[in-house]
Amino acid sequence: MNIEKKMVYSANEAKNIATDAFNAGENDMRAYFKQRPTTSADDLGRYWIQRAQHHMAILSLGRGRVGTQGSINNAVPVVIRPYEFCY
Amino acid sequence: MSSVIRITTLLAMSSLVNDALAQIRDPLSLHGIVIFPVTDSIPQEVILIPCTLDNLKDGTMGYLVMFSTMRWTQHDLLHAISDLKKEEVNIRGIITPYVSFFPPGDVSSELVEGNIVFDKSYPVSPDVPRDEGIYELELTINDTTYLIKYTNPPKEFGYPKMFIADP
Repeated sequence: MNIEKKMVYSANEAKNIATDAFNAGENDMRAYFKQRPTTSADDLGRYWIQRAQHHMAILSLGRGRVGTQGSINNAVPVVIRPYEFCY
Repeated sequence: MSSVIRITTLLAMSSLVNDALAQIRDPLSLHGIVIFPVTDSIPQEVILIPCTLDNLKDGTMGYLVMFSTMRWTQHDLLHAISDLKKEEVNIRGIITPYVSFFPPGDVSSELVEGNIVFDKSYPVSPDVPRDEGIYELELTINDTTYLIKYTNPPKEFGYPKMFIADP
């Protein structure tokens, strides 16, 4: 919902936008790692968030946000899931 | 009874595929030979050669496709690849200037035919460093060796989203 209480995108579309932002962000992060293999895991984590935010801004027309700070709205608690490693 | 279960499973699977496909705005489905490294988990990368086994020949161009990131858009990805019957092949000469999950030298790998679906509506971001080089590898299937070229997929393909193996 935007400030005029009009539907901008549905919950399902928001889910797809978030999924696409994470997918594209991880693709960019792995491409970056292949070109710069000495980058540390911390830096790669930050780069992933930064790239996901870049894609989120484009896909959600500046409405969505990707970060490590959790939700601004405390009424909606953030579900924390452990990261699953890929080999 | 078993046929009922089978039909239900098929319906459930096709609805999963349809749901995932509905998410892709402008799908580009590339059918071809997909070469996996031997692993129990989701590999980081696979090589997709867009042709069938029958018309595979020397100099065919393949793509090194980022595979593990598709687990965001295809939740049953590990199941989709672990239940497959894969043909064992040998590849040689994977020489890339970067870290890859296909190590150089003789590597036993696995081969499956299927589709990899990209989303053309959102091209790959130009501000990320990418390798545009073209490399070669020897692919040995049933004592026949092919010289295959491979590179990164063009940016216009967009990000890979789904893998559908041939039944």
